[in-house]
Amino acid sequence: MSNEPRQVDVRPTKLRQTFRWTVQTLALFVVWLAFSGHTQIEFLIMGAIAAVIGTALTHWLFAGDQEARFRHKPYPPSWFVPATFRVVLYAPWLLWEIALSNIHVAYLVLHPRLPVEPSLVEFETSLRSETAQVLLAQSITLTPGTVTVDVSNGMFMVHCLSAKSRQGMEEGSIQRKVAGIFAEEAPDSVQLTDVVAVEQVLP
Amino acid sequence: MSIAGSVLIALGLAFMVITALGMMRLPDFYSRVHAVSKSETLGIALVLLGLILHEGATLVSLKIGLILVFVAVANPVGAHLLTRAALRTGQLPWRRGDGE
Repeated sequence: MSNEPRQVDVRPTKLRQTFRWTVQTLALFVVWLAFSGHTQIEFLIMGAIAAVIGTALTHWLFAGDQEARFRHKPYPPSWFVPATFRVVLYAPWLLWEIALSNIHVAYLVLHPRLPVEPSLVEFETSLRSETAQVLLAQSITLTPGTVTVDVSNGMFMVHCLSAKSRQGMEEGSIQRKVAGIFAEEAPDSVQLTDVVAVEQVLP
Repeated sequence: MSIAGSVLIALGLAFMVITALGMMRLPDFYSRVHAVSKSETLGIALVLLGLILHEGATLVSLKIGLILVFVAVANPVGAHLLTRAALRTGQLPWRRGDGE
């Protein structure tokens, strides 16, 4: 699968939109069932209506008719099974990283001299699919001392709380993990640029 | 089982206290978001896990588990939106040497 950055027109077809509608509504309905625990017909109807309304409200997000939302061509259906499997494997690793991240931040906060070394850095990711970028942004926020501030066109702006967390960003281990899930290429290390002036970030 | 649950809840509360402490001690908006988005996620996760252990394998536990997932997904999104809003309104992060 090519990683060239490019605009691919993926305005969803009618079939694809209907498919997304159905999947989202069903997912919401299942969640509703799990939370209510009622199985009488009137409750089921209420839940179904709620699921449809929920889907309609977030329609623009998942099944919308936007132009070229993905910079990556859409994945074939056969791709989703192994990808789901890889995400499931990724979750425990991320949970462990979250635990480490908490202990690191707790250590910084409790240390009498408050040894923080904040910096705002920018880097370009090699990940091309939007889903991969979202997963990367979320993972960065959850892992040691880093918060994703902004993502646009593959440029990530990340606030690092300490020198250690900055170093972690430079190594790019999260990027490699996420790239593995989405079968994309990942760099050996990440070039970080410091953001020091507001002019650099404001239009 | 319920002792393990209580231990988890106590640990979670400890992390929440650290979060509160971090809110006061850290120098600027961005670093405070770190405290909130991390220590708090683990704090809530531990408390909810403790509750699950107290409750045992019931539907309520499943619901608590789902809440856990939602919190884990929503917290980084919130942190990201907060910091992005701060940046867009021209807030620059504090750096060593800026003074207090």
